Amino acid sequence: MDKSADISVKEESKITKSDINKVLLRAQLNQFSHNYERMQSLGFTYAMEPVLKKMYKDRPKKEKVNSLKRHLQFFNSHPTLIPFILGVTIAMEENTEEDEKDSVLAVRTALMGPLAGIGDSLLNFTWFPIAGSIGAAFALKGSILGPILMFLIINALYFPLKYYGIHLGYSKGKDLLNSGVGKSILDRVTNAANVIGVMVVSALVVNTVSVNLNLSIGSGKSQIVVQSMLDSIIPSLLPVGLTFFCYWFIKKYEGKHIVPLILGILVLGVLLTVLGILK
Amino acid sequence: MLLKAILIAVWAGFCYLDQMGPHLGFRKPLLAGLGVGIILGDVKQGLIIAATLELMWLGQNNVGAYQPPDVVSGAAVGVAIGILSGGGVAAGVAVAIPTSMLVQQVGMLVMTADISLVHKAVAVADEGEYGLIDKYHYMGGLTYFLSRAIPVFIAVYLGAPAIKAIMNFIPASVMQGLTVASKLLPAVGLAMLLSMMMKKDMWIFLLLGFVFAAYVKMPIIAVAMAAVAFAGIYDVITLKKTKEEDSNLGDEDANNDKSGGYDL
Repeated sequence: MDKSADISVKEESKITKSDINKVLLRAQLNQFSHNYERMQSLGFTYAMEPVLKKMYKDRPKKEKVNSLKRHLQFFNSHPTLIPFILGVTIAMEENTEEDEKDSVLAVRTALMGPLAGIGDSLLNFTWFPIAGSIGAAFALKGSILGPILMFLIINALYFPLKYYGIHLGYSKGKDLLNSGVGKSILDRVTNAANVIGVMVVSALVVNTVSVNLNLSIGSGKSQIVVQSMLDSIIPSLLPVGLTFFCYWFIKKYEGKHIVPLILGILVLGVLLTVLGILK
Repeated sequence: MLLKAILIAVWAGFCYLDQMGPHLGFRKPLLAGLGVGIILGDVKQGLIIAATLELMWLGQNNVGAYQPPDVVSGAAVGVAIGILSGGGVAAGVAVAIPTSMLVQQVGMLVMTADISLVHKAVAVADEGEYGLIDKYHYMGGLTYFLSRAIPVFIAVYLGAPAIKAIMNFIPASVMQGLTVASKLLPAVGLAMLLSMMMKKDMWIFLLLGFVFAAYVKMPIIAVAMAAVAFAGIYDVITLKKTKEEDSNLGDEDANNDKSGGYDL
């Protein structure tokens, strides 16, 4: 990678901002050919094509073939953070000789795992549920504001992540990775994302899971409504209990048997309501 | 009715392409369901059913290669049948859950079948020309589009009259039970998220999130902001810890006999 400094890039094959925007546009379709074997690799290659085409314009056929096959190897990351990886990959492609192309793939592979993890915990587990719960709160009252707000909240974060992701990845990504700080930053962001995810999901349990007992003890003035008694001791005790049960179930069966779990809860919910225990 | 069913199916297909593409948000029940409400001319009812499904499936997410129950087709069919059968939220929930699970299976078939596309792309790459692989990528998009559009069309076109007939025989308490169950079900998705995130030290933040939401009654966005602050604090502490460990390591190298005092 250190040799990259003495390579002079020919003016006509220089990658411009508009080339990168073309890649970004194509990256919007990146999971169209998602599959179990190589996941998003075809999507990644599809996105890279405008840049590869320009870079390999006057190169021998064999190198063109290699450039395609190189990117068709396994790839999987978070769709919203893929533009950043694309940016770094373009910079790597531009600054490596043909015999150093292994390093392009090495960097791409090193980035995809951690960024998938960060994307999952910050975006899928945190940002989407936040947007969804705010949107649903309005929509439950029949307000069109709900879905509009949801759309705006999502894209207020997603658009800059994609747009600045690819441009920053191209201009700064390589330096960051070479400096050695990059790896530790990725670890720290992963940890921070995890903290945010856990706190938000914990709050979502309280806000969205709802278990209401329809029971009361005694009658008339001395009547005690069990649910309000529970709420005054520990609010959301039953939703938390139910979530812990699900958590235990998922851990015990290592994520299998989710369908029976969902159907079981569905049937139990209906049954307990019919019996007058839940409302 | 045929036209409306086709429109809903096409809409569901496009919403799923959002899942496989830009992630604008139409892959989620609330936005997918809104479109169905507009097509059927009952936006308000559509919003209410879609919002219930949104909350029910808040924790359902694609993680890596895992294909969760398909919330796009579930929401499209749930909202459509909820409106068309006159059964509202309860009918919507009742058909949305099985639909999402059936289409989940279809989704896994497509993920397997599309392996052939990438193989064809690799073969065609031998020509050394750019642009030849594109059609395989678009074909993948078509498979995902159809994998949602077709089941949704069948369910809406054939299912709506059937459900309407069945509705007359279902007691009100069962219908209410379905609404109650829809509020229990987010527990499954949220527990799945937690099972992936509960690592070392994370119980601290689980408890904090609970206290903020249940006792302090902070809205989600406020909890998220507080979470950013706590993530910052956690980062500072762990950073300090790793630095100390590094310097301890240095001491151990300097005088070996003093080491072993720390139980790591």
